Amino acid sequence: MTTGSRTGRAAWSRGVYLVARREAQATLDSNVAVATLIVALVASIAPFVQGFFLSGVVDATPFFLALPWTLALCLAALSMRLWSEEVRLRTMETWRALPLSPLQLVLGKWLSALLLHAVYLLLTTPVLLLLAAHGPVEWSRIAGGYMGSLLLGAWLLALGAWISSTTRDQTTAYVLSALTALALLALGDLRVWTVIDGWFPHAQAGSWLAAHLSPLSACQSLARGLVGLDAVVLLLGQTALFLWLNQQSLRAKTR
Amino acid sequence: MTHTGIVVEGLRHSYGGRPAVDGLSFSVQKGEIVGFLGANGAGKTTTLRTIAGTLEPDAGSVHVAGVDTRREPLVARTKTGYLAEHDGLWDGMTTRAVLAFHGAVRGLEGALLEQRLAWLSQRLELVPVFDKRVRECSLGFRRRIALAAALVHDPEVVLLDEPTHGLDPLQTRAFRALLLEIAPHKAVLFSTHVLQEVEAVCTRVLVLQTGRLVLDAHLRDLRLQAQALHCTVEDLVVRAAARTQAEVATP
Repeated sequence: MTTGSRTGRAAWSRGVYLVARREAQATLDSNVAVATLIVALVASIAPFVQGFFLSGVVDATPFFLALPWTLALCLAALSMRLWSEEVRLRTMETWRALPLSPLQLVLGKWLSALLLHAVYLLLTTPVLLLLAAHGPVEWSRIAGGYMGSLLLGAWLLALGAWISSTTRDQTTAYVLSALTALALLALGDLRVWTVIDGWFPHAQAGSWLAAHLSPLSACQSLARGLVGLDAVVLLLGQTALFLWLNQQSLRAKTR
Repeated sequence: MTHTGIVVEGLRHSYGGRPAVDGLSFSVQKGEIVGFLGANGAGKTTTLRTIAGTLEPDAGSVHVAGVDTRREPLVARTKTGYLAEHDGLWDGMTTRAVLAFHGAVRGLEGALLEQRLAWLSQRLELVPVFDKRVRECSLGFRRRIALAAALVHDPEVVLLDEPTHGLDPLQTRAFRALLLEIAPHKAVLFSTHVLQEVEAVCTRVLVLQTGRLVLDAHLRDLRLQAQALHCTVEDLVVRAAARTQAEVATP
């Protein structure tokens, strides 16, 4: 049989694209995805709008500063099904029999979830219109906030996808993903890392963890419009690590 | 390696230290339909999974259409069509979408893909459910959709794990006819518990017992042997399957 003429990198990318497209269709077919989108929108926009009308300050920073906590809870609902659903439906073997590498599968699934996250971010833009209608808006801050939110979404979804590949149960995947994400974020909170520093005053373990492990400070600086290379590297580096762990987890399942 | 079918050499796989397949060696030539028999837990599914590349063997080698499944797993999978024990279909997709996805992943596009989908939907009588979601289909239809997905790219090697499970007698007969139609161009290995099925379509039979091959014989030879011994082919196969490992080890 003569098949498509794509070779090398083009064929590899097409494989990722096909997986992402199939997953996007499956996501749209699932009520969980739509419900997650609605809950995330309400949970992130409603408190901000209420705060805005109470304070009257035209600033999008509080919206982006609150987002990591909301997204940690909401995106776990999206990532929980990525692999554990396949185990439930007994479709893992179907994936493994296809001429696609574990990395193609991992990237395809992750990109499809990231696309939905991008849709969510797009749907939050009316907040900007609300701000712009009430005064001058600092667009550089907003651009930084959206960039940080996109990177944070990529980080959360990579973490959640990896955890989903380690369990058969979606509820377990949700709880573990949300708790791990919240714990890693909390390590970057001033109140938490100062307490840890107090426990180990010589090692300064709290400040070290906040700077090198938690993505919170990276998100906070991006939310303030400060696009630092260290923040981007931290978020992208950890995202790549979780995607690699996800791939390793899939490889282990064939042994 | 110029072999166009399946070559398995010294295959071993164990689950938690318990060997499921132990030093298995056999080959299936292009044009052969080989029946894979054995009791539950004999190692049939494990063997099929390692050939399909969904399970890594602990030791040994597998070549499909001349390709080493360990060295070039993705190339080997493009040459293999695998129907798993559980149909492994995504419930939310339509039959068309499932088959188009399997075809596209294997590099089929445009008119060629449409041509294959049309042929398979006609040949496997999937037209009534072609635009229905898989979750709305009966067990028989689901099995045929999974079979179509395994054949969509016209693979050189076909692995079928209990393909007629869930099919009614008419569908089983249609499946056998399809198998005989495609077999001259492929190496087919299928596991089953139904000896009649093997007798109806197979040229050769392999019998596994506790992960070891206890019988590898051409069906015509078995028929002659059965005639000579005044018994049935089924008797010979059951006798082989009932041998103990000690008997297998002793020539």
